[in-house]
Amino acid sequence: MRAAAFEIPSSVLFREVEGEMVLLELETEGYYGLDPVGARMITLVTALPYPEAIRLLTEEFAVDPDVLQRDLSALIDELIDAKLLRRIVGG
Amino acid sequence: MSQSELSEHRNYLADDRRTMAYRAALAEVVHAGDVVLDLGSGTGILGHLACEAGAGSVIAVERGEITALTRRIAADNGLGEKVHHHHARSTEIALDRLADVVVCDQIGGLVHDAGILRFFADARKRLSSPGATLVPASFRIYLAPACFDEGREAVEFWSSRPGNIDVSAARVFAVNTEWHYARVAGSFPLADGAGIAEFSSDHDEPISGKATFTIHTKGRMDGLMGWFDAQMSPSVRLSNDPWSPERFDRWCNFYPIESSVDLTPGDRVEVSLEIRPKLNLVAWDITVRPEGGQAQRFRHSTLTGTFVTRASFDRRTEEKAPVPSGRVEIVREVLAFIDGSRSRADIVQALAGRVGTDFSTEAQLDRFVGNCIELTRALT
Repeated sequence: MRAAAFEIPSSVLFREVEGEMVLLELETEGYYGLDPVGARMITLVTALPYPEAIRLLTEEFAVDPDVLQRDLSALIDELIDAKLLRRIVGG
Repeated sequence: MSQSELSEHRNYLADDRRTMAYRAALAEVVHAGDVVLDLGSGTGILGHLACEAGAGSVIAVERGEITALTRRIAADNGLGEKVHHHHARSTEIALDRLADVVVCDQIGGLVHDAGILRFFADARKRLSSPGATLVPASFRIYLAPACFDEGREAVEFWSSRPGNIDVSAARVFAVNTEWHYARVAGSFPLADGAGIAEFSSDHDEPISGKATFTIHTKGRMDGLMGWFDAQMSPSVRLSNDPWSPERFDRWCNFYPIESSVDLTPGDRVEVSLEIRPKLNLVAWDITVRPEGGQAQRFRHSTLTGTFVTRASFDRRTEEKAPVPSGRVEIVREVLAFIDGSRSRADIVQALAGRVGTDFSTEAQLDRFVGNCIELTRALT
């Protein structure tokens, strides 16, 4: 089975609160929040191979795959810039 | 004083190993006439040991209501003139004469969990002379992968359907909690303990460390046991190592993992521990690598183990402006009444019109006013 392509780095702590995801970046000790949709996206892309995550999210949110991929890609870029997400080499 | 408070102080006083270590350390570092600052003085025993070592005076600081008893005990032991008491947090006081030696026993099970680092950092900056001696002076903290039935049970209880009720939603909190155990009967280490961080006792910054353990004893890994070794003075050490016959009577900390893993000699366990004193947070990240098997990773933190609401996280996010709750206006009213002439009962009386609208009973209003009064006392 293929592994996930992304992970939340060790320098980030995270938890679910009332359906949302709270992330704490330890370097800056800053808190960040993801709404339930963003939380679900990040949960799946860090647990499943990327194509499988896309397939599940498309089903769950009943959205056009192209729109979903664009939104997801934007979220991933934003989180990587904020050091809250990391691309796994070879993932 | 509550039974638990009294028992706590009794336990401290009955612990000869602790008393002997502090006595020996203070005898080594206190010079005749020194001013000794005792932070979190409790019954005052450390100040008494400082006097015995030659201190000219002791400043005993204690925020708890035990202060009156501490004064009495000092007087009963002929130290009424020598020991000066402050009923306050040490971070709130100022001293006319700076301390030569600062002593404290708010060490907890893994140093970060009882306040000593913060208290010493503040005392070093404001309350002690340059070059003052701190007792303890430094710490090394240790971890070891451990089999610990009681620690596992503290987590698995929540999956056991007590009263045939599903309370498993609480399990995630249990497995992300730093547990404190005064006794760890039946537990055993699966590998030698490793010192993962060493720091001075006024280090009020993040503490982090890593270690790789090679398993030497077959058993079930339920989590990590954590303890410290304190350098009390140049020649005195004190440890709460749970498996050492030399340990003093202090709890040690247990960090559980999501699911226990059976390990055999030669397996490896990689551990990373992150302590953030200012965030009051601990994170432990563990990767178990069985020989020839698949690695398993466990990421835990007290961030996940804390009961919180989304709103409380919003308050921690700096860019968000604090949103006043409906109570702010009433707090302002209460504060305006606190002018030195009105009693608590007077203030409650003045706000009685709010019962039935903002407060369901007069007792609730009374408690609210009491909280506001306490708030003004807590602010410095």
